[in-house]
Amino acid sequence: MEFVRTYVSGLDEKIEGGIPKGSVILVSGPTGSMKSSFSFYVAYKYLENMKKGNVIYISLEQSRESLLNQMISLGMDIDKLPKDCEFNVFDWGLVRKIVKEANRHEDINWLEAIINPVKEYGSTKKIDFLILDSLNALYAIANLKNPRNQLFFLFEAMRDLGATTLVISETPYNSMKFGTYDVEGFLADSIIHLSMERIGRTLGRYVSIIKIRGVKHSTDYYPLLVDDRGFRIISH
Amino acid sequence: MQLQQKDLIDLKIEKTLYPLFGNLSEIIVEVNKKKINTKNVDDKEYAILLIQEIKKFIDKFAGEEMADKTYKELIKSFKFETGE
Repeated sequence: MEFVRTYVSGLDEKIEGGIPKGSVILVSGPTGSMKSSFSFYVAYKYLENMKKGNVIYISLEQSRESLLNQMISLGMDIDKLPKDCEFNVFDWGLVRKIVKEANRHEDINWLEAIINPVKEYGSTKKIDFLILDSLNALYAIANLKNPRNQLFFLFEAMRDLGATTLVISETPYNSMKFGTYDVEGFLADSIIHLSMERIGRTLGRYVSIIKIRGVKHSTDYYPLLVDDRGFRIISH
Repeated sequence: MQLQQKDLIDLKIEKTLYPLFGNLSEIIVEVNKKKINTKNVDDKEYAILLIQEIKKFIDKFAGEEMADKTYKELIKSFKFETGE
């Protein structure tokens, strides 16, 4: 099994050097746990260090402009990546808006609509990272009639792309549920859980690797820090 | 290229957008054509205005690089120059 580094300082050493290349990883956690920033960081750092490669970030809610500005504030500017790097952000919120304006929402097979442009891109270029932000937004759009079945095919379609795929799932605070339908964690090859805990007047962020299929690893929760040096954990 | 009808132009643009947007292409064309004044413009002018609106849309959707690429494909599909 090949691994790609997360570049989260201290974390890769806990998981045999990184996350399994070409697999589907569920990144779950509550609002404010930095799921989007964490996922963006992993893909951004990959490009920055490899100096080449392609990333597709599917944003279903946050606008492209808002997301990119947020990442610039964290020191990640896609325009500053080496020239052989492509970091594509697909703003599906914009498409949803125009579909709503046209009053055609019901006509769309959203699962296909969202995955097809990625397949098209992948037919001419190798995709190194794919990020889907988020499953919850997808559920709000797609009105899944048979979620277990449809999610199975979605995860398979993503896996077939060959990219290392980060799928973001928002969960309630203090929950050990990793997805809305309970099946997401099973379908994914790995689960990264970002959690938050109130300690007195502060709110601490933590990260744990809940599973990596086929790899022995610790399931400890580590304090997760973000500063101008990037993401890092504090390990014992 | 001799353009005959504005509907034909819409279809050509939809066809070019299809790999990226599938059956959403029709809606994207439909919504963007509402942003242009189609009165007193000939077919070629209409095509250029619509292509420019689509380019602006793709720029917001996926950024400048993909907008430029799609723009070039659209221009190529009509085989004319915009003078830009």
